[in-house]
Amino acid sequence: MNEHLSRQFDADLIALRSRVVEMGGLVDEQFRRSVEALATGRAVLADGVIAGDDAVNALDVRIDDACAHIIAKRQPAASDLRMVLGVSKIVSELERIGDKARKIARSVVAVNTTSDGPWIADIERLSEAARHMLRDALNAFVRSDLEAAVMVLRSNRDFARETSQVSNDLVQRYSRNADQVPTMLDMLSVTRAVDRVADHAANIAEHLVYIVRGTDVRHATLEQIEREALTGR
Amino acid sequence: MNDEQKKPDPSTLPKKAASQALNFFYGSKQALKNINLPIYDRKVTALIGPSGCGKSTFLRCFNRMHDLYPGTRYEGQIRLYPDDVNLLDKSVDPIEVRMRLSMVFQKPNPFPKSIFENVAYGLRIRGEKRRSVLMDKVEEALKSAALWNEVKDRLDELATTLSGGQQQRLCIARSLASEPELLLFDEPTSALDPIATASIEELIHQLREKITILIVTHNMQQAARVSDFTAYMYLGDLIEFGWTDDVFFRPKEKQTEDYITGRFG
Repeated sequence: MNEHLSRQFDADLIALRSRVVEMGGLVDEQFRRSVEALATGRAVLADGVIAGDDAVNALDVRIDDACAHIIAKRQPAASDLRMVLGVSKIVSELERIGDKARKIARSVVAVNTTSDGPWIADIERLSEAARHMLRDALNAFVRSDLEAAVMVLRSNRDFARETSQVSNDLVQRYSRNADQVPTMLDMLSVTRAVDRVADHAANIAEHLVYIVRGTDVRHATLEQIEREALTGR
Repeated sequence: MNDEQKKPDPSTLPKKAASQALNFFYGSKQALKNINLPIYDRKVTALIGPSGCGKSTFLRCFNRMHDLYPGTRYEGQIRLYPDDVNLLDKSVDPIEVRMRLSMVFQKPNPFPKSIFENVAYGLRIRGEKRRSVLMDKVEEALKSAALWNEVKDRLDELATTLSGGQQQRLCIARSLASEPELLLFDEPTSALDPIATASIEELIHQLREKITILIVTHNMQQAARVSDFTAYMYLGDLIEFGWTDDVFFRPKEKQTEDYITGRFG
């Protein structure tokens, strides 16, 4: 893409994009630490994640504000407008990933009493996969790479199947013992939070299709999205 | 992918005019190159593009203004519907053309006469002498131009006592009084402040229910706000034409994209 006649406008958009990446790095780290706290049972680590959510929220507000200012001052059109609107949506997804990290951190004490090794291992594996998707989605955003965005969406389909399997296993193992049902519900909630992180990463990939193609694919099937993203139709 | 993004195929809409294979030359210099552009009935069509792209030249072909200058030459046609007459045909009298199409210019250009006489002028030269008819038509035109309430008690004052924005609305009223079929705007707000600009834009919005409008503007946001269709021109070529919503949100051509996002260089 050529540069704008207004260098300041270019600078504003570059700053906007780099703040998205900065926020992405922050929520990725929050999420990683929340799962580490869960696996190790370290309450201090969990407290750090909970406290760290303020920084995520502050960036959310700051980037959204920057978007509003660009719209007010520059009246962006076409790809510039879609970039600003898309960034605003992506930032909301990142903010929610931050919320999921906080939710996982809050459940550390409750869940850790069970020390369910196999489940912890599943969560560690799934969260690594979800982080991978998040990083791939952010890299796709930086490079406006729709093929990479489609890969993230494909990964999410498989991911949903895996988390659903992990949840089913939990129910099988715990639901017959009434004493353990509250803990099981906490574990299900963590499993679901990890699944949602992957969903948010996939949403970021969908927002990228919107930014690049101008088509809102949030409610389209994967096949429709692939066609739109890769061929523009 | 959702239904709201799908607008009707423009080719199903009734046309008020259309340029067909239109070329235009200032001497040996070709200013318009094979322009095929439909002007849809009771829609606002905006022409945008950088200086020298031919948008004003194109607009001026419609009322044969170029005929006033030696060494200019038209090729191709501009059809006016529903009677399907070629406005550029040698047998068509340019005065006749200008009776049917009105032009509003960049700077307000009221005659050094009263407000009333400015609006009545076109009717008088067509031979209308009855005072009551003139009065009714002037009032109607001033109301359509959203100026009536501001001037109804001072119709005999000189038009030049009005503010710039009022003068431009007076010129629009003067155009409307002769009941044109097509209204041509050549950067109608570039000499006006934002408030006066907003009132002209609101007026264009209201007028489109009754009349077809073709507007040349340097202000892309204005094109985005007031028009149904947008044509982007560059160096005498028509680069892209489509629904304004599409052109400003998802242009097909990279040249259009670069221009409307301020990347033109």
